[in-house]
Amino acid sequence: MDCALILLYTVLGTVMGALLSMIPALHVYNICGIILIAWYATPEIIPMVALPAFFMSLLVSYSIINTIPSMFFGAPDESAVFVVLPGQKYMLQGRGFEASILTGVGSLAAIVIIVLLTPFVFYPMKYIKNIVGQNLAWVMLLFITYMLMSEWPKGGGLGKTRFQKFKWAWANLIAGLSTFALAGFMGFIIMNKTMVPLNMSFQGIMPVFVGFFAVAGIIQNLISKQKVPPQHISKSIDVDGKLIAKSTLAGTIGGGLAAFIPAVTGGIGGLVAGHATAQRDDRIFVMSQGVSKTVYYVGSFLFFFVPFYMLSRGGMAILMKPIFTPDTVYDYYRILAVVMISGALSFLLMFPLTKFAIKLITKMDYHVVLWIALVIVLVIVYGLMGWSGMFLMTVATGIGLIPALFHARKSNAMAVLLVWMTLSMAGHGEAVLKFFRLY
Amino acid sequence: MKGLTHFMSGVALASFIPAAMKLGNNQIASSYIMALGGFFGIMPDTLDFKVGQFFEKPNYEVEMDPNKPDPQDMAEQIARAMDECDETGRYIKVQLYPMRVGVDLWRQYVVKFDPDTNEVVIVINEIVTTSQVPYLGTEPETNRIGRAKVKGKMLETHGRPSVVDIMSGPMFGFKKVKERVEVEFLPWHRTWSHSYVLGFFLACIAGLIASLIAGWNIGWLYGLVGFLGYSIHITEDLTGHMGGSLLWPFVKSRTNGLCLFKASNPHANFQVDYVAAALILFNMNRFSPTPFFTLSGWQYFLFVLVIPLSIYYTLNKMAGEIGGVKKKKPGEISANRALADQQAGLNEEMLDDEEEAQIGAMM
Amino acid sequence: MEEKSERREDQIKMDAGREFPEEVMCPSCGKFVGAYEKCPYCGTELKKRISIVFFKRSAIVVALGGLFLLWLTATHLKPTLIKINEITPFYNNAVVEVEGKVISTKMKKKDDISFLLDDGTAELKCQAFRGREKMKSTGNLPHAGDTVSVIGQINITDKWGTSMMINVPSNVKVTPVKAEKVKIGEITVEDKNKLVEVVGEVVYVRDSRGNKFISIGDITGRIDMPLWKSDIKRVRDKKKVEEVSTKGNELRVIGSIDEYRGNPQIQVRDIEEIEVLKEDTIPTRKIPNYKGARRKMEKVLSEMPPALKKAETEADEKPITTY
Repeated sequence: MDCALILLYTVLGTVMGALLSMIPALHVYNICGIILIAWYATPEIIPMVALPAFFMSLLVSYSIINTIPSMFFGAPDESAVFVVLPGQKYMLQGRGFEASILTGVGSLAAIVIIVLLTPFVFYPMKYIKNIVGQNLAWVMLLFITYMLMSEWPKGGGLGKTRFQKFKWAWANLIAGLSTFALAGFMGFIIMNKTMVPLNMSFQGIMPVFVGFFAVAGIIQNLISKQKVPPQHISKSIDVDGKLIAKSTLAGTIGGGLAAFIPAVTGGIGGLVAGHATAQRDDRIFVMSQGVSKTVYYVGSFLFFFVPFYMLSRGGMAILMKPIFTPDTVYDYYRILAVVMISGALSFLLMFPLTKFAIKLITKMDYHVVLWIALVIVLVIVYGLMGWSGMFLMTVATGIGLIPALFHARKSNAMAVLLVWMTLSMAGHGEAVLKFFRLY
Repeated sequence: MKGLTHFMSGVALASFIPAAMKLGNNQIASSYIMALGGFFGIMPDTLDFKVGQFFEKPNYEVEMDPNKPDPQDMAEQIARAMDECDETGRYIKVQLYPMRVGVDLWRQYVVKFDPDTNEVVIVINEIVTTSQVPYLGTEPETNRIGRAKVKGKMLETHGRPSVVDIMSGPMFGFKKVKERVEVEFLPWHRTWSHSYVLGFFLACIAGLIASLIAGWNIGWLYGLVGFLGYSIHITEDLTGHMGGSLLWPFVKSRTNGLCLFKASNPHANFQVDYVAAALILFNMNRFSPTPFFTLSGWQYFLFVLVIPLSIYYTLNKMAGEIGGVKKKKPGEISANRALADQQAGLNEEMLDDEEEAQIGAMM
Repeated sequence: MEEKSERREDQIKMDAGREFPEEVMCPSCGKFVGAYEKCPYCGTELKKRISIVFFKRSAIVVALGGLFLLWLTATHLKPTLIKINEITPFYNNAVVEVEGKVISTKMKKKDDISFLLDDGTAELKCQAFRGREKMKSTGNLPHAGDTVSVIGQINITDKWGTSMMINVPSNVKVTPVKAEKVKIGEITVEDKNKLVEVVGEVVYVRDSRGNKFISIGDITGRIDMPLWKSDIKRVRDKKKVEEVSTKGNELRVIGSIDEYRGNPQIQVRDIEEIEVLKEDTIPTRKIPNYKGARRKMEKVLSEMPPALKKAETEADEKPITTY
């Protein structure tokens, strides 16, 4: 009976997740937050035994399907070509379908690798967690340092004088550093003062992330006048075994780092992995994105199910922590089965949903879709958090727009978590708060 | 080596200092000292690419018209700069620029200093995307190759032609060395910044600042970690083609590298990154007040380093990724083909001339 | 040879087949420039594209202005004082204030502390991974019986229940409970959990696996005062431990009354708090049962069953909960 329920809710979660993931800028953690509020009010809508499976399948399908809206409804302005992801470049070349399927193949490879790596990761991770845990403050600072230092000037530097050249080349670097500093400062405030209604604290960071990434992204795309070129539905994809292997390696490292190190997200992990494997092929980049995203989202939640050390990494584990504890190793195996079923199903759903997205953008201006997405996101933030949430979101949008408009890395905004956590882990939190008069 | 490799190597080297590792452990002091190894590890390239390159003023800027690229004109401009170096003995720097033909499109060209013919050769290639993927068939049908003879004898040490396509163009430096004009690639790179002396100086500053904050008994460790990070970068760079000005400002010339592998070699970079990560983890455990695993050194290195890296090597060898014929850049292949075609054309012309001459003689 | 400083104004229509709106093309060279403010091909300032400039400036204004307002609000925002029983799973991660009485405290590592707080509605475990020394130096180290006001972040897990994470040690404000000054002979097992202050002379000391079993006495009686290994380890001034465990020294001790085998004993609140008196105020000969007490304690220890001895040894390694 339990198995049938789990299967039912896995399918339900996958389908629901796939459909909701098609809405641009809507994040799975926001959806899960809303579902959780509904579940607390009427727990009978999802039986307790199927709740982890339902959330995991939502996460799996999001990690796979979400590529579609970010590729088709977020046509970048071509002047931002240096910061545009290769997936979007594919779309501008009319190869969006192929790119979408490439990331899907990457996600599928990620699920296979998660299953294959389980015996190697399951037990050693306990030791790695304990060892790294004692050094987490400087390990997190390593990510910050590398993230900041590895952003190189874009373009050769135009200008007549040496200083003009320097200024031109440093414009985007300064934008990146400013984003980092402002987001870091915002982190000090929101991590130490609850600015949203108390009974919504469990989603307290949501308006900030919505501002940084969702709203700023939508505004950036709304400004862009780029027209989406006709898309070709290809019958084969430009990929071979070697390419899949290389992408899987890069994506697994990136996603794995992000899943394991707190406050390091898929973007930062992917950046490090991309540099570690030194791959320049666009196809590898596109596919490894799929791998990285799935390993990050699914992997971070999967750690939570390992009964010995119950790592709570990522938003989903934080949401589930108050209501569920894995008791035995079978909880892990059960959720692994859910991942496999949901992953396969999501991959199959990718084909019709990509075609649907292509049909949609050819029939209507994608800006309309973006406006609709913006309204949905605003309604959610206002509905859950009220005006205080809207205020936080507005400030975060301002910060999120800086890297978007000045062509810097958006992952600099992750300083909102990284800086405070790094400082507080090393025991400097109080001094910083005192300096800013925040306690 | 890539930035991440230098960064991780810096941390890995610092992790062998027990006092530094213990300072970083949150059960003892929670210091950030280890991150300094990474920071200094990436510092030399930061100085070059974020500062140095913009303040290096070339003597000449050579550009091609993206609409009507004229390789002959460019080859002649570069050859004239080399001649000037030869005649005056001055150090001459020439900056080349990419040819941007669209927002994501660039016209690729190849610059070759051919010591055999003593010529500067420019070959115009296809149009490529920012990901350096060429659109085949977009190479110019005519006026594709330019050649210009250099008066003095050229000395080319870089070994490979330079492919210019996206973002920014290279700078060449021409230096007169014993009656020859030596060609230096990116004269602003790996010079003053890649010096052990500068590394020592910067590390001293870091140590001094740390001493002022935490006292000399701890501060010197920060200096040491910084110096090790900086030094490993310079040492690792010696494995490539370009070396560094190891003792600048005392010896200003740039030494050549050992040419073991290219800085961008993905396998070399990945393997060094992996080894660095494994060493960091090993030392984290070794110097922890409460070590979590008790594998001996050889057991750890066997299971964590030797076996996985052997599998990696074998798989790549089987897939033909490691060893075998050294791959050339697509741009180089295309240029070589064009040069070969030109040579074949010349041979044919010579043959025609010979035939004509023979026919003439017969008549 | 040309010494060029300006970019060429030529262009190739490589983007043929694509249509771009007029406002995204450079008015000077006609190339696609998208959101650039300065044409990357010809260097023309694209003043007409005020929308982009507007958005860029707006982003900076909103970010800086908004952050300033946010900071201003935050500096005046006092965390909400809540009752522990009000906490629901939705409060997870909320930064709030609670007030209550400390039931017990626990210290495991170098600088951590956790304590159980009761505000009359429910109990809440409050913990700080670091900051104990700071709390101590400012007189805000919580002890059992103290009234405490604490600001921290609510953390709810299914496995460990609800707790509060204290990120800022200065956010713990302690109103200490007053210790009652008593004579040693007045203490009985009925006084269990009562915080007392006594003055006594060290009459017996025995070391066992890092623990120190000490007895102190005054003219009214004597009482055992064990010092546990884990507590001794935390004392920075090791000389203090020596002085405290030197026979004949007179001490002023604050601790709570506990019971062991039917007899009262003092659980010292903080070894560093023990005051070693310079003057000899207690005549040693007048301490009752001095020799008898020593013999009695030695007898008790020698008769202790091996299992109990083992349990005692294991307990030495574990964190001690003081009451």
